[in-house]
Parts: sequence; C-alpha cells; structure tokens
Amino acid sequence: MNYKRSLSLLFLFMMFFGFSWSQDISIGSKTHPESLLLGEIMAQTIEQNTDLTVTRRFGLGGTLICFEALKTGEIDLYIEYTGTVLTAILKEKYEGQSPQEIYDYISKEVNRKFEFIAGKSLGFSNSYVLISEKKLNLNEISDLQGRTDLNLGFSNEFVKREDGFQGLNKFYNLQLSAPRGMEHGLAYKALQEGQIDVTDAYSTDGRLAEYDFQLIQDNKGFFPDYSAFPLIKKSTIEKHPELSDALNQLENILTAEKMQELNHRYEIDKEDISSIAFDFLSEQGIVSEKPGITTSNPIIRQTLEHIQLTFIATFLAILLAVPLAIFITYKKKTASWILSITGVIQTIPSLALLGFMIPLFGIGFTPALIALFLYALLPIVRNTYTGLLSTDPILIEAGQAMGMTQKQILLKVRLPLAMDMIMAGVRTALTINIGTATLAAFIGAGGLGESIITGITLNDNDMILRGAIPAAILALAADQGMALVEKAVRPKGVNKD
Amino acid sequence: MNDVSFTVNKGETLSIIGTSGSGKSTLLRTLNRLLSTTQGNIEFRGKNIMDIPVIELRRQIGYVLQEPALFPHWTIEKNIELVPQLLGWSKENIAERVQELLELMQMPYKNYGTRYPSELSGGEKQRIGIARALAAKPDLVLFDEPFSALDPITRSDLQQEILRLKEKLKMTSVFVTHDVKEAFLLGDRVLILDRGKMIQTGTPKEIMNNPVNDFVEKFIATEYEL
Repeated sequence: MNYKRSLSLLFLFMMFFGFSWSQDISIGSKTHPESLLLGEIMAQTIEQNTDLTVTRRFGLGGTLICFEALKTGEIDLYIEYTGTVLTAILKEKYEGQSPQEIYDYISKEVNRKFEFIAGKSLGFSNSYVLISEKKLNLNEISDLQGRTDLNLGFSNEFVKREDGFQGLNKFYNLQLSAPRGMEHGLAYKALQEGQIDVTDAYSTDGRLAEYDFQLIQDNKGFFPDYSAFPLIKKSTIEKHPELSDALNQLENILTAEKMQELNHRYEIDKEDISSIAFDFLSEQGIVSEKPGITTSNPIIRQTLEHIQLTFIATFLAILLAVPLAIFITYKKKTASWILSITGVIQTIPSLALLGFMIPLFGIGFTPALIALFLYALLPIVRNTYTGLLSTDPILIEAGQAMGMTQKQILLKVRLPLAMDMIMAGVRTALTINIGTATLAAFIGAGGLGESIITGITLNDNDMILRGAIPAAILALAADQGMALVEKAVRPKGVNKD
Repeated sequence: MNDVSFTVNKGETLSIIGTSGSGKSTLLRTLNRLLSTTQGNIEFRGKNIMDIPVIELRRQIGYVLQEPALFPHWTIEKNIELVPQLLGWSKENIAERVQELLELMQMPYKNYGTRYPSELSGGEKQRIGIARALAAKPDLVLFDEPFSALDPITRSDLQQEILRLKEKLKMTSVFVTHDVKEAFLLGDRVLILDRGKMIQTGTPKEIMNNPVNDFVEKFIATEYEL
C-alpha cells in the first residue's frame, strides 16, 4: 500500500510540474516536403559545424503558423520564401521588383517589424510556373494571348488568387476566359492524358521530373521571385553568433533542378529525409558524419511535450473547476448554466477549438494549453458537483448540529467524502486530453501529434504509428496512474465497491 | 405547532412522546435552531436562544441523531473530539476527554480509538454518537429517537446506559421517542404531543394515574399491552 501511495504521489508531482525540456536551437518547417528537407539540411549543417544541439520541429501547419512560432520563440528559424514574405506576411503587392530588390526589402522589413534576420538565399527560387505538353510549343506566357482554344485546368487556389490566374490574365492581357479549377494532384495526370493543355505548378515540385512537360516562361515577370532563405530570430543569432557562419555555408548551394531532384527522392522514392540531406551536404563538403546517432530521438521529446501539455492543462482545469463546482453547489440557479456552458465547450470539435485559439493567443504551447484546459473543465466540474451533492444529508445535519460552520462542513466533510469522485473526473479529463493533444501539433504545440501529422502529409504509416502508439500507451498509463491516485484519496473507512 | 410550553430543569430528563407526525422531532430541532420558530420564545440558561450566535449555541448543546450519523471518513477518536476541537480545547485535554468518554461507554480506546465507524455494530455506533454529543460537557443534550433503529436487546442495553449516565453525569436532556415505555423509563417528566399540540405533561406516575383524556389513556394503554 505504501509504495502505491508514493507512486501516486510521484504521479501527482509530475502532473503539477510537468517537465521542462529545452534545446539550444529549434528548427521549424511547414508541412510540404521541400520545407522539411530544407529544415533537415539546416539541422545537419548546424549540428556538424557548431556545438549547438538542434530540435527539429517539422510540419507546423502553414506559413502563418511557422511565422507565429518564430515570433513566440517556439522555433528559432525555418525556411521561408521571399515572395511569400512579401505577399502573405507583409501583405504587399508585387510591383515588378527584381529578386534582389524583394530580398533587400523584406530583410529590412522583417528586421524592423519583427526582429528577424533573413539569412543568405539558398540560391533557388520555388515559384509558380505554368506547364504544358511540349508539342503545343508554348514557350512564354505571352504565347497564351488569345488562345481561347486551349483547355486550361488550374489548381483551385491558383484560380482564386489575385497573384494567380486573375492577375496573370490582366497583367499579360491574355483575354482568356475563366479556367476550370481542379485538384492540384490530379492536374499532372490530366495534362499528360491531354484532357487539359495548361496547368500551374511549383517550379521545384519533385513530381515534375516524372513528366516531360514544357515550362512556360514568365517572360514579363508577373510572378514575384520566391527565393528560399532561412528566416531566423534575431535574439537567437545574438546568443549564438556561430549560427550565422554555419548557415552562410548554405548560400547559393541549390539550384531549382537540384532542389527538384532532392524533392523527388523524398516524395517519390520515399528515401529517408536525413540520408537525402546527408548525401547532399557531404557532396558539398559541409558535413562528414552520417547523422542518426547524434540526433535526439523525437519520440522522447514529443512524449515529454505531450505529458507537459496535458498535465499542466488538467492541473489548471482543477484549479478552476473545483471552486466553480463548489460555488454551484450552493447557488443552484447557476448550476445548470455552468454545466451547460462547459458542456457546450466540450462539443466544439477539437480542431475548430484549436483554430479559434490562434487569433486570440497565437500558436504554440499556450493556445493548445488553453484549448485543452477548456476541454478538461466539464468532467471535473460535473464530477465535483455530483460528488458534493451526494453527501448524505444526515451528515450535513449532524455537522450543523455539532456547531460546524458551512465552510467547515464543506472542507472537513463534503470535500473529503467527494474526493475520489473528483479524482475520477480528473482521470477522465486527463485521458481525453491525451487523445485530443495529438491535434495540438497543427498549431505548433508539438507533442506526439507531430509524428502523426507529418506521417499523414507524407502518407507514411510507420511515422503515424510512431506518434499514435506512444499516445495510446500514455493514455493507458495516465488512466492507471489516476486510478491509483483515486484509490489513495478515497476516504478510509468508507466502503465503496 | 401551537400551545407548547415547558421547562427542563438542571439535571432533569424530559421525555417527549407522540405519534408519528405529532411534531416531536420538530419541537426538538427548534431547541438548537436547526429549525426556527415563527412565534414564541425559547430560553437557554436564562437567555433567549435568538440572542446567542447559532454556532455558539449548538456547540453548547449535545445532539444525538436517530441514525448515529458518524462521519464515515473519520476514526472513532476523531468523531468524538469534533466539538472540543471546534471549541479550541488543548490537545491534552481533548485526548484525555476522548479516553474518558470511551471508558464511560465501555469501549476502551485501545480497541476502538483508531477504528472507523463502518467497523462498528449499530449499538456501538450509537454509543459513539452519544459520546460525541457529550464530548464538550454540554449543559443540555438532545436525543432525537436515538434507539429507534436498533434491535430490542441493544436498545435495552443503551437505555440502561442512559440511566447510568444520568446518574453519573447529572445530565440535563430532552429525549424524543415514540416508545412510551422508553419515555417513562428515562424521563423524570414526560411531555405528550399530538398533532402539534401539547396534551399533557407531568411525571410518569402523574400521567399514568391521571391521564387528562381518552387519547392519553389509550396511548399509554396500547403501548403497555404490546
């Protein structure tokens, strides 16, 4: 019995304080394969050219999530594209500036507005391109003018965007009618089979190498340049100046063709990301040691993050839910209100709730913590309330008759007798949270969801399981651990089956 | 409840009997303000109980409930020491008092002190209920049908116990019961209630010899025939 008590105490301790986990440098990436590859290339470069340790935080939603994560310091750097910073982050219109002008402008602006440093360009640009079958002899976008006979099929996003078809049509005065929108993944196939004649693509897309298409030149420069470069937090560089030297080795190291080849190896040949990065970097003489042993196992980091997130959220929920439940025990009128509100929160789909958090709290740990905190409220409020109401009325009368105050009856009789019921609520909350927290990776909060989400984008079942299995084990362990706590706090002398 | 007026003298036990619904428990609960009166006065040691803070009043009046209503998560010791604790007695005094009461109840501390109520028989629980009520040496103890849920043998034992306590402690008490025999056995004086009205009050002898009406006569008679 004694060891059980100490076990459960240890468990509570973990719950109250969580774990802290820190690394020198944290590298982020978006979910698309190129972003992950470049993240890995930077990671190995830093690991083998400095004494810094690196945490990989790959697969963070999209541009805005990575950018927010950089702002909050969840990550220290990630690969961004000049044109994306100009249009999506600074929200400015492209007015024909040269690639160098864009780079100079945005590096000045991100430094001024956000205290970020734009690292040296990696040398290639990943921009929108139009492609067609070679036999159509379309070499430049100007060649499309007035070609209403062509069957256009563009990705849905490209059709809608102002810097996509609409702008292009006006800029080149193509006088084309609105094209058909379609799923990007299907466009290559449709083009090859002749169902459409022209579509849009990303210039470094790994799948482009699979086909022999004509790239139609943006001869008048409608698309801004999308040069890839590392975007770094200024404070990180100030703290670790050696970081600049390491990353400067990557200047102009990639051409669009080389990038496309690496993407192809990753996306189509399903090669291991760290081998691709190592092969490339060792060719360039930047790294010499094959990584794998030196990199920290993400499962451990993710598991610890997962525990930290869920335990802290649940602990904070206890701090609010228990007093709230006590309050509604004495104010019957507000009881149904409070229970309904917490119930409604519970019914908000997890992804939607996480989404609501972004405009309010940004991304990363905090918004995920708040969302999980909200989810944990209902089970704890409900169980505490039920537990308090189930006090035998004759015990309350006995307490009153002995001259106990209402507060004494609450603290010495009702709460102790309800304690195991309350802990059962905490147990439910914690178990639910461990499951829900796998979605927190979408907003950059880390945890085991990282593996699951990256696995889904890469269609990699092994990777999905590397996140899903520890999450399941964690949920079971938490459930059993809380069962011990529940037993330990059960008032002695009270027989319950 | 109307037309009820009575006095309990120091060292005296007043039994209140009546049929169910006659209001005997209600009457008892007004004495420690578990229920409040709409009219009339109740005085405790010469002072209107409404002028005594309710918490203070209750800590000076012992109360034994129908079910023992011991706190199940507390040991016997902790249950007994509740009121002295609330009154802020010193540790030594409390420990001594618990020993003394368990001795009085013939439930020695070393056998019972650290046990939990669920480990006790019905009769033992009610003895602890009485010990709890007596713990802070109250000037008045209220009994609310304390033995009604017990079997006849245990009940009889406990009745003897009460007589012993009366003798030994000069306890002042009000004892509510629906058992006429019990009322006559334990009460120095008896008060008979019917439908919220006081019908007769007097010593057991006076009542038996001169029942004021048919109701009292029948009430006493039926009980004794059983």
